[in-house]
Amino acid sequence: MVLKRSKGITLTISGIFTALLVIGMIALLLYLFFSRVLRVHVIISENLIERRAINLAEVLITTDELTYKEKGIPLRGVLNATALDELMSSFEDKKKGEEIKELDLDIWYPNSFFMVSVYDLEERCDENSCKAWFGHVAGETDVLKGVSEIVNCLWGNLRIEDIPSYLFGSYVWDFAKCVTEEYTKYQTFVSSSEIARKGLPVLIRYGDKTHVGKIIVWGVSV
Amino acid sequence: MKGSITITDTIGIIIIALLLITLFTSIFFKIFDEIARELASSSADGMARRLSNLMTISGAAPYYVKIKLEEKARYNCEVKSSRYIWIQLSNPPGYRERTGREQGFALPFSPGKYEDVSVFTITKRRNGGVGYGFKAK
Repeated sequence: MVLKRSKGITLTISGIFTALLVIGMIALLLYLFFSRVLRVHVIISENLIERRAINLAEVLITTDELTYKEKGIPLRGVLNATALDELMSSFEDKKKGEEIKELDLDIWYPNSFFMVSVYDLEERCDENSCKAWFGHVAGETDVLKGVSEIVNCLWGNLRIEDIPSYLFGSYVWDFAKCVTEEYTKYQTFVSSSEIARKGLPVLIRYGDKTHVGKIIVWGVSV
Repeated sequence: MKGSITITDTIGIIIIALLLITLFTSIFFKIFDEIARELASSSADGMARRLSNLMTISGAAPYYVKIKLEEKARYNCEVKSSRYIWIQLSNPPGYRERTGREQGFALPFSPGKYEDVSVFTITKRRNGGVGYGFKAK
């Protein structure tokens, strides 16, 4: 059946079918190509900081300096409260106006910084008191400027009344409050996933007593 | 008749369309997935990411650990004192792969340069203190 006949062109039903098929195939290919390629890139970008934060948390809960040792061997995931008191900052330190301590363990990623917090989940935690330790890990950087200002800003914005929400995993350090122009120049990755919010489970050893706790590692990387 | 359509034409077009869609949705994507996986696992990007991960996570072993990674592809690699590992395929298949890729790691590994290697060994050892080692051959 000939639909239209004019000089130089003959349009038939089969011609229309073929054209539609070709258009459909091209559209399908483009859609699948872009959706797949785009998804892969997004996952890689987002994973950089999450991967680093998880790795760092895993290494910190095994490091000799922070863990409780039995017969000289560190117990993985069992943190020593005395070491935490020495190496990290508490709310009491914050009330005294002290700066947040840097976890000086020679464990750091280049061009990144991470905020580390450890919470005792068996101690009462409200707006008056909370058993928690804080520290930061800053790597050598030739890209990120003003890391100490950002870290101090994050530490300054941390409020004891926010801690109960930390424990339920709904709040992490608010980088947006402290971001500077310097950071908008680069593609910075900020942890925001469930692992950053909920942390890894740990045990905290006080002499003979052991409490259940968690460690949260949250960071910014370039 | 010139320019007309027959029932055979219509059925033929529909069958070809169905075949093409089936091919694209099942067989081609399986093949593309295989190729992409192969490229991803042997690419300098993927290798740098994998090695930097293993180098950092070796610190999560409480006492001693030796991680050996054997690859089919061969690489040039450099562990830098700035805590980056740089990886490049020895025989890059495409232009994009000619430049190397860098990934950061978090532990104090000694710097070193290795050429045309495919076996990587990462160790955490204890001799009085904790030490980390990286070798490639």
